[in-house]
Amino acid sequence: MDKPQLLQKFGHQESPYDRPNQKWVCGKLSQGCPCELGPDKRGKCRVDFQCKPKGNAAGDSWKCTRPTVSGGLCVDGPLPDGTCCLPMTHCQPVRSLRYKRSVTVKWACVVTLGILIFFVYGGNSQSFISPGDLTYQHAKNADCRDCHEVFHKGVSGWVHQAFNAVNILDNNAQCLSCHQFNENAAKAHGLSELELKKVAYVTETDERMSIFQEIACMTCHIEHHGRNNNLLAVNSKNCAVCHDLPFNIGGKVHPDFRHYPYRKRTGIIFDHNQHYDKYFFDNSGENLRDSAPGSCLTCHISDKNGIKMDVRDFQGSCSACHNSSFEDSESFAVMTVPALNTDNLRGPSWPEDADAEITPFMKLLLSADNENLLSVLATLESDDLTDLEDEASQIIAWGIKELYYDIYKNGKNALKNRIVKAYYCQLNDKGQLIQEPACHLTISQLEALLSEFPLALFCSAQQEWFPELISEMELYLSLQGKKQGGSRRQSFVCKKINNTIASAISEEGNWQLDYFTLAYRPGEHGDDFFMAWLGVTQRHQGASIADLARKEIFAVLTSEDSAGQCNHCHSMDSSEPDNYLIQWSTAQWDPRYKDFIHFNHAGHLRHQGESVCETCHQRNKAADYLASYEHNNPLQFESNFSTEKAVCERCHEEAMTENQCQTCHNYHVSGVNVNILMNQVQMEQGHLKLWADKTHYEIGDEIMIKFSVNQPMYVRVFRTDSDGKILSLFPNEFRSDHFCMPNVIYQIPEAGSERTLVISPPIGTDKIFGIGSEEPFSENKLFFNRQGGFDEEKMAELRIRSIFTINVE
Amino acid sequence: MQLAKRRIYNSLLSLSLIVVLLLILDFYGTPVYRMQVWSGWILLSLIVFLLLYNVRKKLTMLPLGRVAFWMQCHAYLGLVSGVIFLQHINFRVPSGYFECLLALAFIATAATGIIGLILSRIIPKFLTRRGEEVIFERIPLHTATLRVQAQALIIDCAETTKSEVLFEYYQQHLATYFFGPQNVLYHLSGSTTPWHHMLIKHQTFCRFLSDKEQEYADQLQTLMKQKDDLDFHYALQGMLKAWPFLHFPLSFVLFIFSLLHIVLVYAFIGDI
Repeated sequence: MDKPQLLQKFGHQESPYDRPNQKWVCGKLSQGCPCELGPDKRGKCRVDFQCKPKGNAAGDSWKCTRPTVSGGLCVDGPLPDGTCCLPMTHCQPVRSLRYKRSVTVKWACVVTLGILIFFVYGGNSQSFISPGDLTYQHAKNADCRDCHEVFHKGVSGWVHQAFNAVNILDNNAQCLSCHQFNENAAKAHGLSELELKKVAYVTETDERMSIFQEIACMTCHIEHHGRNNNLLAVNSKNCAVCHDLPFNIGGKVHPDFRHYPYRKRTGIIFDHNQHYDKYFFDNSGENLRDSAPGSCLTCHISDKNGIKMDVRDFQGSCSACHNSSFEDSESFAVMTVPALNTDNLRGPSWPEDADAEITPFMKLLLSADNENLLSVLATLESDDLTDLEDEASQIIAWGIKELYYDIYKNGKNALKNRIVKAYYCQLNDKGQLIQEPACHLTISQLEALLSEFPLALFCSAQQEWFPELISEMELYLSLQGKKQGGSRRQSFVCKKINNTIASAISEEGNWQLDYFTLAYRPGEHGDDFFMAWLGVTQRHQGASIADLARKEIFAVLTSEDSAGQCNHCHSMDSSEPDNYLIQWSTAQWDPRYKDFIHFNHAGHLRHQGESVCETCHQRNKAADYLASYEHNNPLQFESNFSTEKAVCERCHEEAMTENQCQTCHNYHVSGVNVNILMNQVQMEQGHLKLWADKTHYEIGDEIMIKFSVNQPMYVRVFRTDSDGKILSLFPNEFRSDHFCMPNVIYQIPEAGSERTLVISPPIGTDKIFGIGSEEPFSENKLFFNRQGGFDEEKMAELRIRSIFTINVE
Repeated sequence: MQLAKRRIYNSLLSLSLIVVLLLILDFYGTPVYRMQVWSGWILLSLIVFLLLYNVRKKLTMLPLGRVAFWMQCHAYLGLVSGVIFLQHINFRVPSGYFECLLALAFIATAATGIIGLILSRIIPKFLTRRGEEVIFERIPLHTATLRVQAQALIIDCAETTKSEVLFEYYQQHLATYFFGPQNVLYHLSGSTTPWHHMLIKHQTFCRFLSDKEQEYADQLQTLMKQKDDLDFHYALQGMLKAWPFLHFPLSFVLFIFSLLHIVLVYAFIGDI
């Protein structure tokens, strides 16, 4: 075979140069004879002849200028007029490849824009731009504007919004319209800055992330990830912004426990080590006494939610050993007739054999009296009044007599007025306490103080102490110019009481009359008198007579040898002088508030048995527990127990190393129910509507539940309370058929029925469930999870649901 | 720099860039720090830079660096953008019609780019191994040249040998062959089956020719081979010219989608 001739020549004489930016090429290329010039930029053929003859200066001689690549000089040469002798027919120019590509790109852009305009401005823009399905809980909100207010503004509004900073709270507003939080909803953990600062010391916050930065709901709760997306499953990296190094390569990332679970000393002083080692068990582990608890659960019990461990009350935990301490307690004087130097006492009659001292209780009641008496009280150096000067003795005697006369006449109202005045409070026209900032007394405290006063005993004692009190005081007061009030003696409170008593009494409850002393002796744990007075005197700042009296009362009741010895077990916290807070009970957890950590004690006990207590709460035998109570700062303490991270890691290693924070930690800890709260609670899911008239109920309130369907179906309605108990509401004994028809509003209890549905304990959050199905179904088809919701895996078939929550208070 | 060294160097550099970007995004990888927005802006920046390559090729008069260097950047940053894209969509299939379209546009653009890159590395080797080097746009011209040569040969044969055998053979079997590109798909698949069939047919036919006709037949076979080589070049070079017809429009479509995506994100999510 012959060697082929080369087709493509690259020499500049043999091959013309094709500019790559040419849009058009000669249409005769495919015929093998393209022109030299090529089409113009508009794609028009501009070649008429094969060459453009070149003439001389005179214009009478012409030369052919056809290039070599096109064949070189022609034989005949140009015509005399200078026209080329070889005409060419026009071609149909063809787009160059590059130009074709450019046109393709432009058309693609145009088509794309057209498609986008069609869909974005069209009726289905919502479904087109939606980034995915909503969760089924939100799916009923078919309109984007339910969550995205900007949607209704159209494309121009979206563009405007995109280029303008958005107030973060605007994004939250739609969420908060159903999910109601407090005013700190956008803050970290839903807490105010002050509250956050208080707890920040226990965490290692990331400096890069200000803990006060506001956060949008959608930062963590990401929608549009499908029907079954769990909105509560939050990326733990969000937590790591503030609470951990966000950059972790392997290893265990959970910090060591600090201030957990013991953030402050226990309110009740109970040295576990001492009790264990000295009082409960001997060296062999045997109980030292029958009353010793057999296990931790003898004294500790999980709360109704199973989360916290409460301590049983005194009867259930301490009384077995400590009840006798109250039986043997001594009494102390409350109201007396103090001894005075009667030698030179002019005016008031005074029993010469009175031998008591003035008590701080009396000083408090007397502090509401006149200035003279107050000045005398201010000069008292001790409670023994026998060394007072005559004038002072006289003033104080009249004061005491006036006090007793006041009580004799007006009963507890006299006490009430004096106590109110001593606490810088006021009463309204109806005699009710006005709560003001300056008032250091609450209505309940006042009631407790008054209820404990033994009026009958006092009235009886009065007859012995000052038999002529009435006549003497009436004369005295008239001389003083004080109005009598126009009341008759027969209407005096004590007069009435004494008329009902056959003979003088010397005891009334825990009160005793001992000559000139009205004394009180606590009889049992939780003595109301002690608790009432300690409650109103634990804060005794100030220098007035009343303030000093309160201080003195407090000192008496909390002294080492006080009758009740309350502070022997109940610690007192104080952050400033003369301002205490007695810890009457163990740590109380308000179920409305969530803790940062949710640890289900009941669940752990169920799984692992009682022995798990000491596994996690390891006894710290070296702790000087009692030293924690030598001061009043509850934050400085040594606990009997310690809890280490390693204990939790035995079972929860994955959660603690994989940053699965939500396994143990809560985010929304603010004190507002985070469940959906809606006025006229109406939720529609599927075809079932279920509602009640309000969302907050108190125990004992009647509730009316209503529901309707929009197509025939079988319906069941349940209630689960905060204990997890499930109660079937519909069908019921009054209506066993659970087939329901549309356009009818069904009521529970049924309309016209005498039956009522009453809210019962416990307090907390109850859920009302409505389930619908086109086929009849029994209760066996219903499955609930531990959180009180539906077990979605097992109830996939029953998709017609309606749920709402109510708060029981 | 030698090709292998350059590839290793550029690959390592790209890998380093990927690692750094992923670490940065993971370091701040929480919606609180707007990781998705960051990765989105990085992705858009990469897309814009990749688009600028086309602009650079047109602005040859400006001192913007060698086009070859830009090509290297385009290729490797394209790969980086693929990884950032996966990070941006969180390694899951997007839901929603528009987001699916956007993702498809990116994937299609990236896929055509990768395919084009592979083709541009493989095809030239095949082209140099066969036939002569021809300019793609001149192939019709060369086809016409071959056609004219074949026709002249046949006519000369008929005049010289006074036989129309070769002429009729040409008319029946080769006229269409020399008219335009043939057997494009076979050439793309690397198959030489059509040529072998044609050769066998031709050689079978030539057995019945006279010696003089045989000489013309041999020359005709040379032209046939040349035509086959030309078709080979047409097919493979055509492939090299064709894939940008997908890649370029898709990249602009992707850019338009991205702009709408940005508007929607900032309009509906706002300042997270």
